[in-house]
Amino acid sequence: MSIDLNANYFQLFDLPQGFELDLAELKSRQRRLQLELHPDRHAGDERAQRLAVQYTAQLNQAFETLKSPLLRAEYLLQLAGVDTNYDSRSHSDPEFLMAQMEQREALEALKAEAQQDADAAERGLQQLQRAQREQALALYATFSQQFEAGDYSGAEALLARAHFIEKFGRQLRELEDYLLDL
Amino acid sequence: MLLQISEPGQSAKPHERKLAVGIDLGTSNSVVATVRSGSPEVLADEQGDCLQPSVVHYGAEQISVGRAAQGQLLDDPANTISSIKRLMGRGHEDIASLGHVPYQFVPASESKLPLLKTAQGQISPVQVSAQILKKLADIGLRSLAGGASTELDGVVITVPAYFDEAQRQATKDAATLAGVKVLRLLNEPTAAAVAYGLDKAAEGTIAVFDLGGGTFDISILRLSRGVFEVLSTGGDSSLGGDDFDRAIAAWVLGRAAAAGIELQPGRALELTARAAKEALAEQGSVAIDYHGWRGQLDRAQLAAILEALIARSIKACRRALRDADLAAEDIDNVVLVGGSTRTLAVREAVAELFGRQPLADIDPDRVVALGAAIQADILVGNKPDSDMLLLDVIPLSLGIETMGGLVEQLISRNTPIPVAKAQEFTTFKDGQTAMAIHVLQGERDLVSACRSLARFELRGIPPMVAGAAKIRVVFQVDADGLLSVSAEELGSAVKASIDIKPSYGLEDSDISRMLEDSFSHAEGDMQARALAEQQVEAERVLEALVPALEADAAALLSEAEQAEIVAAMEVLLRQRQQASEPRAIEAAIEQLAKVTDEFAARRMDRSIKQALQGHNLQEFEQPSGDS
Repeated sequence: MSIDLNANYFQLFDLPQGFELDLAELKSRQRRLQLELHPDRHAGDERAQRLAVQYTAQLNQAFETLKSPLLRAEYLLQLAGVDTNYDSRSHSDPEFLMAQMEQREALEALKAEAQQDADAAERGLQQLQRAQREQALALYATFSQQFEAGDYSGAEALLARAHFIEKFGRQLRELEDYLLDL
Repeated sequence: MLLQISEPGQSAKPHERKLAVGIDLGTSNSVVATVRSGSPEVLADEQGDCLQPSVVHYGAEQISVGRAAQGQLLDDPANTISSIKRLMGRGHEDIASLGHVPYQFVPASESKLPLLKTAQGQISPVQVSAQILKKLADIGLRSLAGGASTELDGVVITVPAYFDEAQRQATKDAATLAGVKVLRLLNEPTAAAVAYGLDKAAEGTIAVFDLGGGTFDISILRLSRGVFEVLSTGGDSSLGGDDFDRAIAAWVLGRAAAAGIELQPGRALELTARAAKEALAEQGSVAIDYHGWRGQLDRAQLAAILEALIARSIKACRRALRDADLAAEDIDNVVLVGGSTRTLAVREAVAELFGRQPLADIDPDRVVALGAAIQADILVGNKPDSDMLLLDVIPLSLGIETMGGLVEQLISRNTPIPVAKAQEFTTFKDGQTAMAIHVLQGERDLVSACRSLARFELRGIPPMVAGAAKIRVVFQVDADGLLSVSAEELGSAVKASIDIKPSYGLEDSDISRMLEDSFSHAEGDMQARALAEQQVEAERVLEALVPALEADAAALLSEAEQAEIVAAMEVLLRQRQQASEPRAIEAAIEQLAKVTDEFAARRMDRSIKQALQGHNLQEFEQPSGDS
């Protein structure tokens, strides 16, 4: 096996290419590689150190991509030659859009409620966070099935939803921030 | 053949112990430490002081640093600079954050960067820091080498974990100016954790609670088999022991007023308050006698006085825990840093939050420097078998300005570094040959709410119709958190590499001017100095190369390649001994670098393979044991 900066991220870690990934294994391989490649391992040799910065940067980028389910899914589709530039496309599933809007409204309501009853808002937030996590898990499970079955267009369509769900997760986190500040 | 090359007596002895120190460059005090006979210790100056006040006095006749400069705070306040760390990598608008200071600044209309007016002319914060670093390096050199060497081999300087790019760059610039070779900028909390030897545990999560004179920082770290990661940082840049003193002073004023005694608020009362606070770290109750008012202050009262201030620090801790996705009970160890953690009420609040007693055996004023010394010892090569690796994250997101004064994030907060991100840009006008890029750091969406790091222009884009040019810009952040940018037009492969200087940093010309200034003050011939520097550099290059060749040349290089490298080494050895021109040695170094580039790349590739091959999960999971 020859490894170079052009190797794909799965090859870099010598892990099987697929959505299902052993995160503990990924992490321990990342650590092993860091121990060899980090610039601190080459202190005193400026040129090796410059090289090490590039390798470690690549390694970190690969690790961050594979660690996140959304980025990993996108990356797999790109490797399969699918253009994942779906931002410009409209999402045509009215049921999903409806559910998203309802969640957004629930979030707004919590923000308002926080002024009167912070504890109730906190409980509501936890409920929404649980729901968001479950949605994400279910979606990635479906993605994995479709991807493994070679249904790339079906898998790609799911990513638009994944973006919605992840964004909603970030908004919940912002609300959590806001509640912490009260 | 290769072994013969490494033999000449002139080249450095590989087993000689290198001189390395760790420096805690603090807001109020600075400390220098080193590792001797295997254990870290703080180095004292000739007067026996271990804590050097971070104060510089620019007198008309001479510059003094530390305790001597502190003595001028009352006599010559306008020329005595303290708390300069708060201005490192900062702009005019940040001067206000200092509060009232007795020294004067050059007006913003006359200088882009904040400059101080002193009896020695206009001085930048970087220059002030360089004076302090120089003093600490001198203390280190004197105690370590005792005159046997004129230079330290390397220094680790600590910075707050939240320091942004501009602040880190300014710190590194100060080191350059002081003539100090920086091995690494290390985060203060990581250094503190290292000082406690927490790296020796197999794994765990650590909270570092750092309450100094004027700032509070909380950092959550994760340790796993020698690898430290910063998970999150937080704090309050205007909360510290000085606020405690003011709160106690206010309590005294109130008590005195109730007794019908009118006291004057001010510095003298705050010093009395501080003395009382410090006494309460040792005893249960203290008598205060101040200008006619007499009273008792006990620990319970002190806790009540400080309650609101301490609560602010605890709140910041909760937020940092949340950012790390951890609960308080997930923390295995809590480390106390900073003099204000001597206050019992602080310790109790910390212990209550985390449900465990914090580690406080090491002097909280020295712990950071001690950890930095341990890391310096490893990086300089005195402990080749060490497995310790300190990984950092970028403390604030990096982004670029887009249409409408908005910021597009490129690298988000808490991403492990080093990191590189590429972004493609295009032209929006026909025949456009230049493009401006504005790099910012911060978490907000608006340009005005983030800190401007750099503005630069890409020129020489081949004229094309709008949207046809594709410019790929790569932003790279190194292990110290410092940014460099390179750009390439993909169609024509016009390459431009820019080492950017932060908007708040120094222009390159500023640095070289300051370097010249400091050289002209220094004694000795510049030419001789340059020659000596190149000789040292040549030794360094050979020293790094020889063991690498001994180990791997046979496996990784063809005979022809080996012969080419050996020839270049021979040239360099000869030039090192004979050349009177620094440039001749430099050219030989460059030539050697050219012929060994491929070798370096092959070694690196091989380490990747070795790291992965022949290891199964169980091996990965095993602690390394001897670190």
